[in-house]
Amino acid sequence: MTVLPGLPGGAGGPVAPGTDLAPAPRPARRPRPSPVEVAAAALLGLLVLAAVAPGLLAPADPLAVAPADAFSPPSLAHPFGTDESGRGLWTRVVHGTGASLLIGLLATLLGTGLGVVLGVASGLGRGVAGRVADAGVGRLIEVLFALPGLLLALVVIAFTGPGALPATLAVGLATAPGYARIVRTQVATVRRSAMVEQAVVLGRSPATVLLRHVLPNALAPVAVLATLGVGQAVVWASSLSYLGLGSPPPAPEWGAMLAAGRTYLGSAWWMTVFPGLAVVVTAAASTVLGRALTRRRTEVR
Amino acid sequence: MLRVEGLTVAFGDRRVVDDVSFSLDAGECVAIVGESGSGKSVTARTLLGLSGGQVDAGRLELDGDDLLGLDERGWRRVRGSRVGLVLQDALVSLDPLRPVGREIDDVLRLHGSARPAERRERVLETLREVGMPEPELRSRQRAGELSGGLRQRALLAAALAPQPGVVVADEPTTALDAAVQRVVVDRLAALRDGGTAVLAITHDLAVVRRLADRVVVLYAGRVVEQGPTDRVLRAPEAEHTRRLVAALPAGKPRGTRLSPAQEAGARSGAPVPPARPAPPAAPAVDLPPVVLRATGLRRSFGTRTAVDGVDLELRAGETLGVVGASGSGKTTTARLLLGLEQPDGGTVELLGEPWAPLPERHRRPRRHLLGTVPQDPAAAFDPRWTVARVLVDALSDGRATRVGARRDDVAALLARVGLEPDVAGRMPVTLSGGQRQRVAIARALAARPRVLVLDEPVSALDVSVQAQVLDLLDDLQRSDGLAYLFVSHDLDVVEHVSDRVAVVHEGRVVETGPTAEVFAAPRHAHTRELLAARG
Repeated sequence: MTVLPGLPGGAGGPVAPGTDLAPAPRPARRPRPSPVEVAAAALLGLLVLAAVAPGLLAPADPLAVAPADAFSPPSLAHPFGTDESGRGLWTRVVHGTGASLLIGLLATLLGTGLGVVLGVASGLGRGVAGRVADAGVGRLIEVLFALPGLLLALVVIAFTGPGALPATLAVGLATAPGYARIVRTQVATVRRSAMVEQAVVLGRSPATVLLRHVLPNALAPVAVLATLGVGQAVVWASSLSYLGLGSPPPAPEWGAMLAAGRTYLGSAWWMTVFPGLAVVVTAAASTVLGRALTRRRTEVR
Repeated sequence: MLRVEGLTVAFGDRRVVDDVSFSLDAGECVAIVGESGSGKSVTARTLLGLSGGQVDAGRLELDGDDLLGLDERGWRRVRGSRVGLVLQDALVSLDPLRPVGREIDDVLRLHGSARPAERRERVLETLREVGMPEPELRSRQRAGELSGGLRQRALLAAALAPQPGVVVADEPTTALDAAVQRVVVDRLAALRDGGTAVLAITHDLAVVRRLADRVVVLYAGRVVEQGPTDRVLRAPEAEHTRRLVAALPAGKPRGTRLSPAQEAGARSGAPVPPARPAPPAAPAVDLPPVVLRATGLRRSFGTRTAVDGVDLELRAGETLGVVGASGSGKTTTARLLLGLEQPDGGTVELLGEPWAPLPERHRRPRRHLLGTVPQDPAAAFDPRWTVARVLVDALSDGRATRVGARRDDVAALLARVGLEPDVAGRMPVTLSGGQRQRVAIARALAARPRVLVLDEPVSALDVSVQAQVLDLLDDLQRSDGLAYLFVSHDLDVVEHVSDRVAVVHEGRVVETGPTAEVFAAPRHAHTRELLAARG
């Protein structure tokens, strides 16, 4: 936030003569969350509940087959309808939440973790070694960037074979370069800041400076971005499952359910719409929340 | 020319400017002075319709035209062509991607100057008027390629090109070195003499003295005093004006207090130490020992030599002022002394032992002997740390992270710099500039240093806060026998605080000696130039 001299919010408003007492600490001006943000938080809460205790929301067995009920449209017994084997889609969507969220979270964790390692390695070095490391990591990031994320994930799966774990790994790797670039910039900026210089003058060792000042300050924005990233990772993981490269059937997984419903798009729309909605809602809720956090962070500055 | 009566500007329910009245005639300069937060900038911006608050006034007239009811389109016809604005920060006020000549040309085109060739002539003419060297070359350069002084000139040229009848200059000299300040002030004075009305917003009373016919003193949004410059500065009537004038370091000998006495003494919680021992008269037998010595320091960046053989000696308990124009190598010298840069050549000794060049890990055990206070304290604190955490870190040499048992040490340290203990729980960003600088000083003191390198420690502060901080530094020097290396572009401040001065020019020390001697009888041509620029 830039503050014009003499404007309110500047160096503290009118000051009693000769003293430099700042005005009483301003009440932290936290913007009130908007209704959309509240809704997003509530939805995410629901999703977490579905992930932790799916039985609470959908007591039925997501794998139990009931051929007699196949292809029934949404009804009171089956709010989201049933699929070709008569399994309730509500039950399967709820039970699939855990897998989707877990893949999303793990992939984001992997992506940020890798990004932080790469970013710190390239942003932190000094002298010749530092420049070499920066150049090396920089080129690597650019190569990874050159491939579209999903394509990169497909390449990874081509090596590992399909499955939930490979999908996680693939999405994690594909998102890492974006995080790495942000971390690199942050680390390089904080490292040259006056606060780090002060720490050096006070005699702090490079390790202390890195752990106390550089990392915490460089990683704070990454933590916020990762919230945005979870939604994206869920979408990507579902995309891979849709292509048959994620969790194998009959496990309830949103992307796999979309793929299964694709065949019956004309006759049983609910088979694709509800799993699809689940993906969209998750991504939207985490994006809204991520943006709210980002905005708050920049406003506090 | 300009009449303002009963001007009130409010942001929400907060009145930032409250019932301000003044007038400005052609060929006259009126200065609005006051501390930050006194409403002076908002007043100035209101005259261009840029205040952003709810404006109300009995009268707001330019040349007999009412400005109060103007809509945005109306204001656009006033801005630039009839009222020009010179801003304080030339780096952010110029488009970094466009040549400065184009920026000035834009202003002319917007205000209906006819043909391109004519405009080009006018651009070069304006640049020449503001003392821009090589105007043809400079007009094709971008803001980033110009030094701070040249940027300020370009900005001034952009404001003056359409020849407005009123020029509003908002802190036109802040952060400029003495020579560039002089150019800006001279240019504004020439404008005034040419019949332009100049409204100068500043907290620098030295500028006021040289430029203004009349002064309006603002405090907390209200006019506390107004009158002819001479009278106001010589015999101020309002309490607040008296304090502002007393805070000026110019011409006050070493050791004179600048801030009201009870302030610093009572609040620092420590007894005011006895008057400083008379400085050793003749080069006495027992000169205090040299604590910091630089010999032949050199440092280049690429092809540019920033420091080119600097020799300095700082003795225990003394203040060595380092002055020079911007770009003369002052700051690089300070960084070399602090061991933040490695020298390309030469050595630094701290308390008689080698200090630079030396690998940082050999320096680290002796780091506590040498402290620093940053120019911009806002950027020098970890934004996640409270004041207490900052001080505990400094007190424990980085070992402790919790306040716990050190609460009393923190309070004692805060008391030494004249702050209340409850500041400990605050975040540095929520403190005022002066408080923040006090915390920075407290942090520097925590490690019990013998030498402090101060690079422009007060240049970001208001005059009255600057006075308090300078007094505080003086007190601490007396009580702890600290040696200060005081780098500043402000000659008045350096003259006030220093026992000796070193004048730096193009990376070399061109003159050094006792402050009084150097200021009274400068030997080197460059020193004379610097002093002349002070006016």
